[in-house]
Amino acid sequence: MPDRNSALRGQRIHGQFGNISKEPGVTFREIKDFSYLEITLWDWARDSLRSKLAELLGIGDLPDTGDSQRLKEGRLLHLADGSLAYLGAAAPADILEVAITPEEGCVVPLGHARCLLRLEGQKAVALLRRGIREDLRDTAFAVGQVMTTDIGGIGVLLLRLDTAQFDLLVPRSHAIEVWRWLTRRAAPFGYEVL
Amino acid sequence: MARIWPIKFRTLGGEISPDYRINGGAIDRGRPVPFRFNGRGYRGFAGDTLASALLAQGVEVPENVSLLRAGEKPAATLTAAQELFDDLTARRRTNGHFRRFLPGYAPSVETGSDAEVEHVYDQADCLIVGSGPTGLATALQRAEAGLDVIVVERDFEFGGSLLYDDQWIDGRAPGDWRRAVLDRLLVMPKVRLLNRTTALLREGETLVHAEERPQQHLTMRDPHLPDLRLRHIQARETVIAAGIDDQIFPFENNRLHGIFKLEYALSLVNRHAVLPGHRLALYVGHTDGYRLAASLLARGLRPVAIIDARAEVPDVCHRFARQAGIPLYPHHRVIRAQGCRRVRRVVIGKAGQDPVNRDIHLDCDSLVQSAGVIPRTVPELLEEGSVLSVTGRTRGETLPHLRRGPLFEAQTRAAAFHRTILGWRLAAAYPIKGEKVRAASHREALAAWTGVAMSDLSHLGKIDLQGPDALALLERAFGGWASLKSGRMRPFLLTEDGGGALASVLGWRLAPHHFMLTMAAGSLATVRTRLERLVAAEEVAPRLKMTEVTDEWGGVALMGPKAEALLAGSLPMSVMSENLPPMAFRDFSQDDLPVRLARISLSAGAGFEIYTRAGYADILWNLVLEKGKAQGLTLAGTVAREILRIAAGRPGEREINGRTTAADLGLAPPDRLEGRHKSRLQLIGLKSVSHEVEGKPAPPLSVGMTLYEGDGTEPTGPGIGEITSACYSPAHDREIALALLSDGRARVGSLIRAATADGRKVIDVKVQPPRVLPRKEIGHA
Repeated sequence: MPDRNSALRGQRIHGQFGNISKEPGVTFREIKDFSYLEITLWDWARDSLRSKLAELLGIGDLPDTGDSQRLKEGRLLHLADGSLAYLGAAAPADILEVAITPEEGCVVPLGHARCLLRLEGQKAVALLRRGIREDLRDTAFAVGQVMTTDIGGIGVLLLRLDTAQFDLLVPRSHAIEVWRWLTRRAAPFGYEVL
Repeated sequence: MARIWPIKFRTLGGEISPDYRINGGAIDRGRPVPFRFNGRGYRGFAGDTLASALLAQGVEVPENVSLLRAGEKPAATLTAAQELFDDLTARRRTNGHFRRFLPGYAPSVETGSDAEVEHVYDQADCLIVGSGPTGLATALQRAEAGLDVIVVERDFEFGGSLLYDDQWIDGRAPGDWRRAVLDRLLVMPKVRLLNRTTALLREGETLVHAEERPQQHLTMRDPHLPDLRLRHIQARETVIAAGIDDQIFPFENNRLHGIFKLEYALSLVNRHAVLPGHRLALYVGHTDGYRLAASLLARGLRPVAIIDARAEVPDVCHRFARQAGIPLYPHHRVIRAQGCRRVRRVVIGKAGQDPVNRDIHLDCDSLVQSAGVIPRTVPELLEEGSVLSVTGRTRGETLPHLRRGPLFEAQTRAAAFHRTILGWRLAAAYPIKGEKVRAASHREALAAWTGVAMSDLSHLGKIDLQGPDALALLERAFGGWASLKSGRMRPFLLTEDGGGALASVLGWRLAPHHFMLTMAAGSLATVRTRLERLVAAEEVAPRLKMTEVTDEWGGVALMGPKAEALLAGSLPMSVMSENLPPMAFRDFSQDDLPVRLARISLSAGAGFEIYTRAGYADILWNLVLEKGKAQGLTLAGTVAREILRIAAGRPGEREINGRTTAADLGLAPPDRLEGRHKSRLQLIGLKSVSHEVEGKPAPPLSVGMTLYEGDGTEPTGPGIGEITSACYSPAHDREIALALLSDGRARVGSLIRAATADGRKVIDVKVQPPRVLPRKEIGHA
């Protein structure tokens, strides 16, 4: 496949910015090549497809709602009842698209419709608190959990990879506005763009 | 009436400096702080407030007057309780009058200013408002129980009354107790202590909106910090321990300078080491009010009198006054304060119905009062706008909903002139070397008619619809989908139940159970809402998934007679008519680039739409641009596309407005048109027949112009129709327009007139059919 063009082209400049008198509180990395598929299971086929999907992806069972399951090359996210998503490398994505028949459910590829940002650092939570209303404490939003929420009215998907590491999936056409917001709000902490 | 005039009392004795500064306090005398107020230089100490530092030098500012920080645009509004910092420059507000705020409400930055405001959403198990003895003790207790605790304190120092009170706690002096508790809280990871933060409003049981001022103690503004931080704190438990507020007595002239509330005066004396006045009278309604007198006495200073409003003054108060040698006036009230700007005397009298009613005149330069105390609270947010200056800020930050398509960068490189249309940053035109946008658009439109032009389509709204029940939904919403074969497209009109046209969409059948709808960006919400309502009306959840995929695809339109030649020379598959008939599309790969190619033109005769995944859109753009050089490919912006649309007679969002039907728009069969909707407004085309007059160009037609009969009568009144789209057509070298005209079809060929609302501009126009799609193209589909 050709190189994918970044939604942040001309905006994302590598280096340290903001309050650089101290170690950067947050690092940003854009992951350009990834697949993001939204998988919908029709009501009647949920149970049968659940085991089929788990077998296909090599996992014991699908994650609970709001949770995610690490796969070999990506993650399976359980967004809501009957609504899953795959985030990761391209190869399993192809398998999924073929495996689910129209009678069982459907797969909508949305990897190009999103911009994937990885936020990491001691101040990552503090930064996200400036835009996300939901409770981001470890007890309420644990490692591996996923939520659909919004930053300033723009819908995003947030995945907690580690205590201080998050993946943020932003609509491509809004990516520049969200990026500007992130960097403006991260400036007091100091941030690094990798 | 008997008078005692003048009654002389000894003024405050003891160690009083020529100014109002006294010994002690919590200020750091080793750190003098220079500052300027109203153009004059002053000096205070670290730990002072602006008010205390000025008062120490005999300049009084009311407790809650707002001041402007000079040298800043826009000037920030401070309160007199602003902590002092090096080189603070402040002045009174230029409007000459003081703004008083209720304590705790004073917004530190003017509402509506350009101040940078940051929102923070905090969560905690326990929120404590106030860091006095109750607040700190509660915080420590909750933190030791393992809870997440947030303490907000509006002052720059934690401690509240501990900073000026002298009541010992747990056998320790208040200052020692405060330091010990704070030391413990500061090392607890689940405790957040937020100073310079005022709790503004409570919303429901669990939400408190608070305002933090991170910049207003800094000599140099930190460019990374916001002026104001609005914290929206969600907590299971909220403890209001914000201290007490003194109630004041009603008396004449009680707003003169030199009249203070008790708690504020205590803070001035014990924390900031500043005397409210040299001859201080105390006016109280409770025993606790005597604390100030005790504090002063402890420093060797004595008030001129204590006026106690109570009928029954406890013995302890009598004893205290007697031992201190302070004249006590039990069951008295202050009738009025006298003085020019500052109080110089108070007139007191016996309270109640005293038969021997005589006024007493007390010389004093300050009066400290407290009728009683009430605990400070955080007001409830009852309704939007109830406290205008703060409720607008409780809603959180909204980012600009400014969308950029995947070709935005490529267009910028091509020197596009961008405009914001329906929330999208779109290339309006591609001017060449000083060319005006209008001229560029005319050039681009001509290229689409005579050569080949490429235009960005990425912003078009796109909905993906999949599932066994998708077809049934589309049939219900539009009708006519069942006959659409896979690999084909067809234009559809979404109508409401009454027949009014809501939106025009292009339907794509990707597979038997997989569809895509493309539409103008402004129609996306309408179509989506309509389809969602139909889904919601189903009794059983239908097996379908509707997803907005606008951002997933980037695409271009190739328009013009040379478009086919361009593609034939650059794509691996033939796009000749037999392989790709009109209104059909194919998916294929070009150098690993996934491409969806459709033969369609709704605007400029022959044409194609080419889509790829958004991340590859610029590759597609560059590919077509490169291959198009030989054909003289021209880039066309939205203005040129609008010219093409109007010339083609295609109804847009102003024509498809919910009031017109398919028949009105010429999209229904002629028999229905002639029958049921004869008298309705019908879509027609117009061309100006006004010619240049005395070298001046013919006046342009414009949207909103009213249409009148061409019979020579005065063009007034409601008219017979309205222009809905208008432009200059370089192909026709005249103004053209689309309009909704009463009985429009029957008027084709006739002359009518278009007039502006003020009637100043009247233009002769000829009615013509709106040019619709060549029938053979639609027919093939």
